[in-house]
Parts: sequence; C-alpha cells; structure tokens
Amino acid sequence: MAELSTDAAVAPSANEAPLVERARDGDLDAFNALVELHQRAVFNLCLRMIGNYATAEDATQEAFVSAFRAIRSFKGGSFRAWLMRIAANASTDALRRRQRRPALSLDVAPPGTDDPIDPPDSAAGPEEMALRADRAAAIQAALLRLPDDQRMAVVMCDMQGFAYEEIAQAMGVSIGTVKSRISRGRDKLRAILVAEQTSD
Amino acid sequence: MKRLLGVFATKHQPDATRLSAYLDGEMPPPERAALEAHLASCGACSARLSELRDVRSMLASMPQVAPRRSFRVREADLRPRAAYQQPFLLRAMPALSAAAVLVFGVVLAVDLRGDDSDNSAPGTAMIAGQGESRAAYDEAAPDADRAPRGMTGGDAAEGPGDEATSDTATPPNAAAAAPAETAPVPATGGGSPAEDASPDRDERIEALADDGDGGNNVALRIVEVVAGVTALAAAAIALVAWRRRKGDAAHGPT
Repeated sequence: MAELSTDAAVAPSANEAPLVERARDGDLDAFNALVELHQRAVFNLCLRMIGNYATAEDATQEAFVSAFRAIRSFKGGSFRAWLMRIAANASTDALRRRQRRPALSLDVAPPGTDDPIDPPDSAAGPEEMALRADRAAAIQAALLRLPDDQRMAVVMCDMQGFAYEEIAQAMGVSIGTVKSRISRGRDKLRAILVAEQTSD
Repeated sequence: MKRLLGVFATKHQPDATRLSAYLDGEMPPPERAALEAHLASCGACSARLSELRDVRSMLASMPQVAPRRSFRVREADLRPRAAYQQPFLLRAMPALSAAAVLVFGVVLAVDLRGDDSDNSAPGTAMIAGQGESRAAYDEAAPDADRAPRGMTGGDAAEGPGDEATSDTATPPNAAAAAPAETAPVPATGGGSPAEDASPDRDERIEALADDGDGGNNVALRIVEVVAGVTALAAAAIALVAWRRRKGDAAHGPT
C-alpha cells in the first residue's frame, strides 16, 4: 500500500495559528512556513485536477501567490481547506487556459495521455512496475473525465484523506452536497474503468 | 412471507450516498447501526458497498507525488504583472472605425445635397426654357389663338371629348410651328433672344449638365462605399479584439 501524504492525514495544528496571524500582517516568512507545511497536499490536488506535471507546478505557485495576496480574507476555520479552495480555482483556470490554446500544448500531451505522473515503485519488479504504471495512468485518465466538482471531492476524500467538513469548506458547499458528489464521483469512476476494461 | 420480503430486499435500489458516507465514517452512530443491520440481510446493498470500497481503495493506493521544487513565495512573485497589450493596429481599430463613419457621413451629406441641387436646377432651366419659348411665341404670333394652358411644349393631351372643340383649339403642332413660321419677322430687326430659345437647344444644355453631375455622383458613391465598408470592418475587428482582451483579463494571457 503506497504511503499517503503525512500532511493530508494531520489535522490543522495549533502551531499554524500564530503563523497565520503573522502572515495576515504581511509577514512573508511566516507565510512561507505555511507553504512548506501544505505545499505537498496543494500540489497533489493540482496534479490530480490537471493531469499535467508542469501545469500543476504553475498552478500550485499561482495558488500560493494568490493566497498570500488574499490572506486578509481568511476569517478562520481550516487554513488548509481555505488553501485547497484557492488551489482548486487555480487548477480550473489552468485547465481552461490549456483548453483555449491547444496549440501551446504541442510539447505536452493532452490530459490523460501525459507521461506518467506517478512515480514508479522501485521495490516492484519491472513487470509489476509496468502494470502499476498502466493502472495509475488509467485511473488518472478516468479522473480527468469526471466533472470538476466530483473530481475535487473524490481526490480530497479518497486520495488525501480530508473529512467531509473540510471538503465542504474548501468547496463552499454543504456537507450533503459533498456526500452526493463523492458518491456520484465514485460511481462514475467505476463505470469509466469497467467500460475501458470491457473494451480492451 | 420471508421469501417475499427477501425478494423486496434484493430488488430495492441501494442508496449510494448513504453507503459512501458509511464507508467514510461520516454517519451518526444510530444511523450506522441501522445500516449495518440492513446490510446483514441485503445482498444488493452489500454488493454496492463492496463496489464503492473497491473504488475508494484504488484511489487511496495512488501515491502522493513529491513536488520537485519548493513553492515558497518570493517578493518578485508579488509584483504586479505587466498588463498584456494588444498590437497597435488592433488598439487603433475603434478610432479607425469612428473616422470611417465620420467620412461616410460627410460624403453622404455632400452627395445628398448635390442631388437636391441637381433636382432643382433642371426644373429651373426647363421652366426658364419654357418661359423663353412662350415669350418667343407671344412675340412671334401675338394674334394667334392662344393654346390652352398646358398645351405648350408638346402637351398634346387631347381626348375624345375634345373633338367637338378641336376646331376652336389650336393643335400643339400648329402652336409650336407658329413661332417658327413667324420667327423670321423679328429676325430682320437684328436678332432677339427668342431666336435662340428653341426646345432643342434647351434639351442639349440639360443633357450636358446631367453628364457633368453624373460623373461627380459616381466618385461620391465610390467613396461612400469604401468608407462604409471600412467602418463596418474596423468595427467588427474592434469588437473581436475587445472580446479577446476581456477573455485574457479573466483568465490571463499566455
């Protein structure tokens, strides 16, 4: 079983509150300390939302820059969920830019057909590595076929271990809506993967 | 009875939303207990739960990818980005369109004004010509029966009802011929203006005038068309450029 990101499993710590307050006062170093804590989770959300490594890096950087500019608008609650919302918006914008200017994507494969973004498992044999790489690519491609809201809900819940309440805060919707999006996303994902398996 | 209930139990549609929440530990304890009791006897719900668990496990098995770089924010990242500026020609399109509309309006006004003066001048010339012809007629044949009003210049509008009075009415040809027949009498006096005021001469003058005005009209029409097409094309390009600028402002240019 692949390890899950430690920062996704850790609840917002009490150490964050002073850093957030200092960042709200314009302290860039304090904000960057928060960046170090959350950048892996934010980057992985962008990566799973966009499906392209380079674009996900750009979206992640844009998300943190936007977050520092808008830090005064953070009124409390989960700072991590607030960051995720900004990251989801940055990912959606990046996806739209790629779709509007497909000519600029000549040097990168379209979403779903990129070079594998998941790292190979060095402990496995070559055949196993190839199988896992294929499976990971198929899952990522299926994820990209979900609507944005279902994809974000499923990624945050199943891949990053967020609780429903934090997902609701990140998406700006009710917990009931989160439940619905997660279950519909899982159903649709399953249907896509089963259809691909039967067509192979 | 139990068999009938069993049939209902296997036929009902599992609630995927509730099952997902149960899977994620997001169900209150009393509801959770009730669902677990139901799952013990419902094959459909158990199968559905198993499917959802497989998807969840599959996604959870996807590794978290370590970023290759740090995303620390630098001071340089916070400086405002230079606004994207479109090429000068695109930015000038609204002004070009306005100028073309102005030119079109001026040329159209000149053209219409020229048409008005053209319409009045020939009428004046014709009336003057008729006046001269009538004056010549009056001088040449003062004792001849006057043609009824409207009979000069070839208005031979006699109808059947007029036959009875045709003997008394002077036919237009005769009226027109009268000045010609008697014209030589004043000619011995050293020529009078009436001698030059012939309908043929008037018609030739009018024809020459029309030719000159027609040439100017063609030039004005060409300028109007060019200005109009330029105005429309520039306005269309300006609209496309504006929409593109608006889209770039919302999503960021490349």
